[in-house]
Amino acid sequence: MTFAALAFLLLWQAPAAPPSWADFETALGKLPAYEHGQNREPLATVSEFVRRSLADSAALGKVEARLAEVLRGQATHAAQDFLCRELSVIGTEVSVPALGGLLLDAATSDMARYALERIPVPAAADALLQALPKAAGKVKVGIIGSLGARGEARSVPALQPLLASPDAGAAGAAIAALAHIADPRALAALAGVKGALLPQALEARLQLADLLVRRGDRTRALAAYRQLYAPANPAPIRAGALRGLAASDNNALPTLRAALLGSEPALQTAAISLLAPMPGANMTALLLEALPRLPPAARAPMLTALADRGDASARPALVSATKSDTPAERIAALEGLARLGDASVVGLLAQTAASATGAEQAAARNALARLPGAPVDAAIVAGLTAGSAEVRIELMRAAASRGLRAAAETLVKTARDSDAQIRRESLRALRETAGGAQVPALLELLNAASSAADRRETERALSSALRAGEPPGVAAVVAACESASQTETRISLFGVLGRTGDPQALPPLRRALGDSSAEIQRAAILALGEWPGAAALPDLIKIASSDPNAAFRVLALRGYIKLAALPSERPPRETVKLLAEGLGAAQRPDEKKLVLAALPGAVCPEALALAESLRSDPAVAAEAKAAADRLRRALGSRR
Amino acid sequence: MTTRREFLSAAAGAAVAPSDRVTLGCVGLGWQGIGNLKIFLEDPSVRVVAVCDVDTQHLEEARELVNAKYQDSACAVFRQYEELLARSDIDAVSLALPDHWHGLASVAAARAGKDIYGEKPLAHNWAEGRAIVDAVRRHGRVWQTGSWQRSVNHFRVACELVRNGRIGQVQRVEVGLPGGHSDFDGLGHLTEFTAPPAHLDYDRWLGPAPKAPYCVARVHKTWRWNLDYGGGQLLDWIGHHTDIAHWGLGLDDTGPVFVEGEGVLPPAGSLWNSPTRYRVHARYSGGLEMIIAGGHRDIRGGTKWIGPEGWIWVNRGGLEAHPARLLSSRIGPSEIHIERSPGHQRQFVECVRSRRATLTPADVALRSATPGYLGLISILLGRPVRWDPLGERIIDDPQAERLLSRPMRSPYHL
Repeated sequence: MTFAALAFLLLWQAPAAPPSWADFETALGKLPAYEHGQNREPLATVSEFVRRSLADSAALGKVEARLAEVLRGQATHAAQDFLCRELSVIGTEVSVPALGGLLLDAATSDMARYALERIPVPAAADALLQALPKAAGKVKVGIIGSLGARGEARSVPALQPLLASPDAGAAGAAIAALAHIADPRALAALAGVKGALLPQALEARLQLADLLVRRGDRTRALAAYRQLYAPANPAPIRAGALRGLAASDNNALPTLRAALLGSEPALQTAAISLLAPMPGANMTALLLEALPRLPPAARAPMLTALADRGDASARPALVSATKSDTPAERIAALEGLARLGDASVVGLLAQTAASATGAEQAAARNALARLPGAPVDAAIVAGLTAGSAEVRIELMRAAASRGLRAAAETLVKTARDSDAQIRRESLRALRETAGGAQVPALLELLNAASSAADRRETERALSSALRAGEPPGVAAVVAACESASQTETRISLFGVLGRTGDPQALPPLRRALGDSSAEIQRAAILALGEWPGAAALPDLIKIASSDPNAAFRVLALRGYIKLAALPSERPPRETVKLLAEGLGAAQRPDEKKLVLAALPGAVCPEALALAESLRSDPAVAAEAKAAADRLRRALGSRR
Repeated sequence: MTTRREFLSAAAGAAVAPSDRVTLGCVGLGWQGIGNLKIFLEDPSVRVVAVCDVDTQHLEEARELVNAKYQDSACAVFRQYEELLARSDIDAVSLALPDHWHGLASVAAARAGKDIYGEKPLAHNWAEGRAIVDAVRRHGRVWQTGSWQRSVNHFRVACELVRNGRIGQVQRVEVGLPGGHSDFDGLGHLTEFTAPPAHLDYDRWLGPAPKAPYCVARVHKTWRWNLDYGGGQLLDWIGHHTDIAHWGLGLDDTGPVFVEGEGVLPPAGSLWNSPTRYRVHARYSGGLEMIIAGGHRDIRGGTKWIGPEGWIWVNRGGLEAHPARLLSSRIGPSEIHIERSPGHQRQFVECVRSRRATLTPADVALRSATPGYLGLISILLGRPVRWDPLGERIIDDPQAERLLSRPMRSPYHL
């Protein structure tokens, strides 16, 4: 028998057998004396027994009867707390007498309600109603709250007198409770509240009207909303009533229109949000009519709301608002044009993007990136070759954001522009727009690049174009590499080949490792270090282990570690083997640290062992400890 | 002429204040709240004017932060949020209280006419979440839930790819959450019942939850492992990775029709009594299956959508896809674009100004958390529940229905 098997047998514990009725009774016997902080075993046994009885209604009935019986007897508050929690889930009328007996004691009332509030039988409400007149203070407030939470219509006659109670807590609780009772008497009772509690009562009526709508009593709800919308009421209540009317009254439009065109900001706010989603040209016309009448602070939200409607008739208003004196309006208009604009606004947006700053510029750029439709694409392409450099550059960025293939041929041309900034932005846009068709032109551009910056941008654009996977593809780059006469061009092409991960690209890179030029050798090592997979690992470890050039060994090793750490399908322990091999070639602490940084990505005991083995190396002890700690945590969390 | 502040606060009947910045009060400053406060303090369009906490140590730390930032001593402090909400010069509030306080504080804030940045999960239980949604709608408030992953770019990119069908019609989603009970500050062993410290108003901290003796491990940070105050790892994380799962699927306005949970529950009476290892299987109309699991090795942490043409996985650490080329797929102008966020708190402030819906409105947060609420109920009862996502009710299971809400200790009530 292995040690592991022996340990397993020693540590393994058979699952505890489900508690029997006898266990349950024994636990119940101990329960009345239970205090917080004592052995919880009786609670666990009872609770588990209750859980296991849930599916058997006959057994559950017996269990409930026993719990109620214990609750009726002498028990600590901690035990009563526990029993009330259990009964809150399984309790029926059987438990109500025991729970009702605890209602008037301030020490037990909350937990008695905890159960009674949830038990959906009339007897539970009866118990609460019977206790109500005898209760005072917090106990009374709690009982009122439970009657409300149950939505007990029978409690309205008992709650109504409390609205005039000198006990502010009870009166406030009664108002809150009546708001949950979908009964016309509750609405009438709340309508009678005056004085200091009026604001709370108005709020409760609003809440109750919403509840009546949900329960299907639209007539009473509408009447309540209309009363609450009266000018004498506070603006927030009127706004809430307006929302209620809009949601439930088919004839609310005139009221909403009046609110929109009126002078009360709270009602205007509500009206905008309520009218904006309503369909139809007439509605757009109404909103447009209101726009100039709104206070400045409300115009930006209105512009946003107009744009959200998607009705093109609002476009001129948005265009006009881009010239507003108020930044918030300009930004809202530009953001709106992203949804409502068309090809006609491309020029305006590009001009704004070129001349504005901050949020306004961001809004214009975003609109250029998002505006849908082929005519918009065409307008952007047309603008690439005309106008000021700043505007053209913005359109190049827009073409890039949109991944606009149709712009690629034009961008290849503008990439030859005499203006260095235009060239650079063209090449950057080609990164997002070029495909196989542009590969020959990009190779030409690379060959003709007059600066390191142009070469670097072209190299990136070429890499992106190859990712499209279209002909002529990598073969064209390999051919260009073989025939290139300039060292700089060859170096750039090696970089491109390295990033492709295409099997065709490996032979020229391997050949370059034996080139007579150290510069070319270096470029090939760097390119292999960019390889997006494991295929270049053997080449790199060979150089890292045995190349006579120390600098090449370091470069290759760094590339090797990077590739070994890439996400892969191989098991983590295989990755650890690769990293261990890299560690073997590492002569400097810097590369050992790279290995240690990569190790936590391969969560397995072997990685932890390797990290631990390096803790004795003073040059990397701290990094080794950090890696080991991370791995230990990761391995622990997997358990 | 009506100013911006008048416009924003009109629903609360507020007075005009001199500043044109959004004025903010921060309630709950123990952990996430202090982090949110620091972010709001960096926003030049926001002025934090008041802080509130039941722990004076938290309160003092927050006040010092605010006053140091603004180089004055103007920050007001409150121990009860009702006093802060009564200030008519406050436009918005950041609420970062324990879950069992979310319902009361959020509803009160909406009634007071404040726009609200509220922490996830939306509420301690489903019914309080629904009360928040209703109050926010009734009072026309802007609400942002602290499900901040929606403001992180690679989560947005993942969801855009899924929404635009890059992996085809999604058939299954795997949502991996943490398991266990994290002992954040190493104080979990302090379970001995003692008198509460003088700096903490413990009775107020308990608020609507049942009365219970004080111990260190019950309160700050680790309260979430006790079902009286939180919902364990399941509800703590549901507002992140399940929220992202819904976002990617465009399920912000619906919910599952069937939920079955199983989990390891600590013995009754345990202080940390939420499930330590759990697995919730949710089925949506149309047959979509979602697995939400914590402590299960077969479900990777984060959100993974699986379709006939591949999968996409996203977590805070990264975004992966199979085939990998999906990640370089471009979303065209005519496809579905998800709004880029300038930062979660910043987006909230922008919406306070524009009155647009945020990335995570209250109703969306309720939908995101609902599989968690139902999953927990299923775990507690040991049986599946069927849910009507339109009528928002549990079907044919009155016992399960009881657990959608939780009675409150007096004098608290919604």
